[in-house]
Amino acid sequence: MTLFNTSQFAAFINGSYAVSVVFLVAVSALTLDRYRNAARRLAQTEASK
Amino acid sequence: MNENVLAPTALPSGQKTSWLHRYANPGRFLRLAKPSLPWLAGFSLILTVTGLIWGYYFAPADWEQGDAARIMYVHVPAAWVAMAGYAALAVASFFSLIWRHPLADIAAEEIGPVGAGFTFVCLVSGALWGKPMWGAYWVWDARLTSVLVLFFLYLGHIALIRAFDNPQHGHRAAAILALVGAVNLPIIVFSVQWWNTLHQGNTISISGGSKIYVTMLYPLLIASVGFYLTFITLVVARMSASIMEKKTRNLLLAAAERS
Repeated sequence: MTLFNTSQFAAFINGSYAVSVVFLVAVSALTLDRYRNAARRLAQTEASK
Repeated sequence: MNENVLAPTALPSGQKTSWLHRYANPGRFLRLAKPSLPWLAGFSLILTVTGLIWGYYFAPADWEQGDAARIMYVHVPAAWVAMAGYAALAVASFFSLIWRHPLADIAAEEIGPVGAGFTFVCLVSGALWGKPMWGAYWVWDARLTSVLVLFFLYLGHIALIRAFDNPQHGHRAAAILALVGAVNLPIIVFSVQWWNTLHQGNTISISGGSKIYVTMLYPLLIASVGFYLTFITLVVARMSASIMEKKTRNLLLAAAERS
């Protein structure tokens, strides 16, 4: 969706928000994945002791 | 890294320790971080989404820059977090060098990539704001150049901390780089006062108050708090993951030695 499609700055505004949102979502997903994997592996290792 | 430090009771029992040493224990950090993370993540999400939607849809256009000023709601929070992140990196490096805290080493290692990401967002959103306002994506302006140096300092730190076979050597070398690089922070902040720059002066300062109206200030502050909390959440989660990975490795090594 382009809210500012009438604005001459639409591409710049949408671009800056897109970069920010993609970064925040990607880094959060990667961090969550790493955290869950680390917790799962630790639990497995402790259980197999 | 010494495996003993990862145990919840790493410090010698009966020894009187400072509050700093008590809370710098990775095991204790993990126990505190686990219940805090869902709350941190929830508040980060709510505030970041609120700030960005408010800035994008509902905040008024600037009288001079028009709708392009909406880029401020991602650019300024990212810039503030990039600088605060580096300050946190320098503090962690100081603790690492002086007191050899294992938690400080872990913090420094995990702050670097997150801080570099926020600096990248700041640089890209700044370039996208610069083109319609200045007619160029990039100019070798004091503010822009000093933030680019900050980005390179982050990248240098990320590379240096992983460049040695002995991780402790990497942490020491990277800590020295982080501390020396901290001189760049006041240069970034005061660059718009010390030199004639194309970049506008500070709109908000702790001593001088705000030069923007509340309808623009509130979404900016909410987005900023959201970005700060997101940074803290990501770093705490990465530090927790790193501690758990080290703990798993130590358990596996201990099991391999026994067998």
